Amino acid sequence: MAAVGGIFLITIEVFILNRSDRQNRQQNAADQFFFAVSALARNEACWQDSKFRWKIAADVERIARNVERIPLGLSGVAPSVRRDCLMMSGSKAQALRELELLAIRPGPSAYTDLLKQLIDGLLIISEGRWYDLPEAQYERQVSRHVRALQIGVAFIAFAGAVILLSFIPKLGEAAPVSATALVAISVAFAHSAGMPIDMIGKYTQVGSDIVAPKK
Amino acid sequence: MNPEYGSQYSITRALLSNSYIRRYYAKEVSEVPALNNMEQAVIDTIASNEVAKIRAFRVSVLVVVFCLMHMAT
Repeated sequence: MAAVGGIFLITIEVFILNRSDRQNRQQNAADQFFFAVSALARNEACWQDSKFRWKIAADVERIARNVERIPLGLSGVAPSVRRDCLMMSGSKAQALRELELLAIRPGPSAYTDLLKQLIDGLLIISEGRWYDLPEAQYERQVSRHVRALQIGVAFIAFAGAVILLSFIPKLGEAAPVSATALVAISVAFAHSAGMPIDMIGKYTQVGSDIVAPKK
Repeated sequence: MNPEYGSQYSITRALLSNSYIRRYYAKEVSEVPALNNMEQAVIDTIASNEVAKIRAFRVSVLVVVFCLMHMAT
């Protein structure tokens, strides 16, 4: 009983902390800008060391993720407004991601440019004007973990369809209908995981051959 | 220069004292030339946000500790 109470309590705590974190993404981004500027300015002599530059690039990615998620704190607004804000924050995050390349593949003035852009970003975001940050062409970012999860769900749904079909004698007409739905789910996840269209075409063909009634 | 390139900010000390957080930001601004030009109000805002974040974390830790002690007795 005590363990259940403990788990319940910790779940509520995590929920409240996450909620508060969601409302404070802008402040968190300002904080991370501050730390990134400080690390970069303090360690100018290490700029030639790729390990240091990669660490700075990772810091900038953390800032970009926070900036990208700022509109998630919006509530009570129209879905279209929320979507537009997410597109806008995505473009801001993309501009920050371009700075990561400055750190990974540095040019002659990369250090000065990066430091200047981070200081400018810090000044803008600390005034609460995240919408005034520079923008770049938005590219959807999908992490390896999410992609692996999507591929996993696609294969599990496909395997589920095959297993369902083996129960046709017991389930009757319900089996092919459910199997078709599972194949559709599987194709949708394969598509969102970035599987090439021709491969999805072959995959769908195999799915429909399996689901189609045998003559 | 920090050999690990990281900041010298100590989360343990921050959990224990708000004044540590405020002193840390002030010290960082005075020591890093790139941050020298920042307005004091901006630094105060960033430090206050950090204090608020740490305060929320402290409260959540205290609630868990209180409930665990209550369950243990």
